[in-house]
Amino acid sequence: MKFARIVEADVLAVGGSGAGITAAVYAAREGARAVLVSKGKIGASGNAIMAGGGFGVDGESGKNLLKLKHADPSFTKERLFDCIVKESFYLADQDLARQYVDDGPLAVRDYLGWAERAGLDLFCCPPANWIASGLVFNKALLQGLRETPGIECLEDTAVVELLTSGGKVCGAAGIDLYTGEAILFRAAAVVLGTGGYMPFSENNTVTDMTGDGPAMAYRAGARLADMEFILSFPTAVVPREMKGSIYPYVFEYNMRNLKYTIRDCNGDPLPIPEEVVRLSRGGKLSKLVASYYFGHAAAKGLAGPNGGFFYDYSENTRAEKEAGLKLFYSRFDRWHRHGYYKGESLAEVERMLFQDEPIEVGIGAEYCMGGVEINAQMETCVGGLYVAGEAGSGVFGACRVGDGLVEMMCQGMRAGINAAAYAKGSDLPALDGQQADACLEKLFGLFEHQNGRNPVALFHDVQAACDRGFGVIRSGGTLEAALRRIRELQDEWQSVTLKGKSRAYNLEWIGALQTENLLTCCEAGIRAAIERKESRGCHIRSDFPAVDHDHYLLKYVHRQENGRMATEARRPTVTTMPLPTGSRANVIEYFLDPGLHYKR
Amino acid sequence: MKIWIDRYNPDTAETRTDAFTVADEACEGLTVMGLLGYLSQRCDPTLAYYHHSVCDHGICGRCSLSVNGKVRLACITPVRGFSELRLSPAPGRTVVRDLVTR
Repeated sequence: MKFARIVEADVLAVGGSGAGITAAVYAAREGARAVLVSKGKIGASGNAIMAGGGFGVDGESGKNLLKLKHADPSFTKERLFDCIVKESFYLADQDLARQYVDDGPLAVRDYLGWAERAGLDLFCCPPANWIASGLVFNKALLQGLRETPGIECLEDTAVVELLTSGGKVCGAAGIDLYTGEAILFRAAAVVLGTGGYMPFSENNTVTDMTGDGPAMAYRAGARLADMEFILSFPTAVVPREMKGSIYPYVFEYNMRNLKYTIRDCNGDPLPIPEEVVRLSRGGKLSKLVASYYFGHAAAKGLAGPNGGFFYDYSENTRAEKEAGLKLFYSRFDRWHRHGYYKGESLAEVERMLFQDEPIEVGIGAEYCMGGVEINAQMETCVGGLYVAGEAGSGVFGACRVGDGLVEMMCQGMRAGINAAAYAKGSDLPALDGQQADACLEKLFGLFEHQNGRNPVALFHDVQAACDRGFGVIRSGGTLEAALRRIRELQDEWQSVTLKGKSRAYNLEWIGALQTENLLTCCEAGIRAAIERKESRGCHIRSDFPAVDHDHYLLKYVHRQENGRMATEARRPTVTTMPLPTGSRANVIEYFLDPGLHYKR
Repeated sequence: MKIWIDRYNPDTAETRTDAFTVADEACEGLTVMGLLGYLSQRCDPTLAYYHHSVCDHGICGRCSLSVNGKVRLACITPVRGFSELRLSPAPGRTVVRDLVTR
């Protein structure tokens, strides 16, 4: 067992989406020898391609820095910062939220230059927002990559373990997925831009968001935080071939002239107060609102045959529906075939809409607020290890309403710049031969296991355990059961057995490695969810519905200690906004409280 | 539904065609990608089809293969409407394993 080849770099950027690409670009601009490695195809993998909303910065920067004609400067930097902290239910590390507000416009300025030179057509609206389809979003990032000389790119290569020496990162191990060869990466600095983890079976992300980066960082000594917070939103369950499409959310966001009532399986409207509809519908807060009301109704057994609820558009005239679709297509025909959303035909959805057939819509997971604990320089507690984008934690706390796309770009930028400076000022630590051998033993040893569970089945069991006990609405009992099941599955993973012995494109092998990562992330999330005996943001407990500022304005942080997970709590980092006291009846009442002075 | 899948093992250069039968009810609402997932989970976990970091909604364009002789994206091709399926690697590309090409 040995590495088939060695790839050397100053900065190794991992991840083929927004965070990884920007980290590589900015590291190379600083003169570092950058290598970009991606599990999938660069620019066509990772969650940025799935984006349906777009991105935005504050209107002040839109006017002064980006010189936008349509900018609304009354949405100031301070107001954006205030919104992010309040939307995070005060769990944002405020130094990271500040970095997002300050660095976001700088990263977006470069991004808009790439988009212009790539000939892309983005749709702009006040205060300083852009509606963009994910694939077109990534075309601009690829333009940035093309314009930056000297970056070596490896695709279809999964980084599977970080290598450390004396508490500092010294490289990573990877697998060429087509050949099964092991690759040794040697680098003084590594940036993980690998995305988050999705514990559930209903997702609207790319297929394998298994928390590879956070789990690898955890094994290398880094800490994980906020892992109990998973953001979900209305996602297609019909037509069944479109399961996982985000057309329901994109319709809501772009066809705001249409009224609709959401009904349960008995035809009764979900009890969403008019005030809550007004506050949220058509905006990004509606993700939390939908999760809350869908989750509670589903817990009462009121969901439809596909686990969803029914959107009834019948109070609109045909002309109103046509006007709504016309507006939608006037925006999205820039990027998709007319009559399609992404690559899928909307013909059946249109038929249901015009024939007043209620459209069943479920809740799918989109984004994980948690990840590796980082500071505002994107540093972890492991020397030379940086994390950017969804793989990190800190900006959005318990709930994200701001943009994941801006997060990946501004953090990727900062991580790339800092990783380059670190690599320049550090000698490459020697490779720990024993650790490298143990890593190879683990990777290839998986082929030697016998009589254990198959990884494909094991992976589905992890999702099923989380669906049952760690879903949108949780309670102490369901969480404890889920944690017991995760521990059983961790034991079963030790003897996970591959039926196919070829190393070439072996989905069982990839699946086994991903399942280990997912199990680690799920354990962290469920442990924190058990400790957090309150509701906050996307962590909603039926047994503790109140938001309890007096006892739980805390972040749960996990690290590996003697081979086991240890969890402790800390206060979020505060810079300018003091933490509140008292409690609110539930996560919806938190936003309805006029004392919050929330002004998104 | 009867499904034939062309297999290729790069270690031995062996090629063969495997036949699977799946109940029509189980195929209801599936895409070809969904059907391959079903077969992988229920029948043969060694089946190789393009499934890492894919979008599943027709945008990343990586899951192309031949469906009854026509090149299609697995993720946006409904199984509905076919009485039988012959799945092969996309022509004109290098076969990595089974249905995976590069």
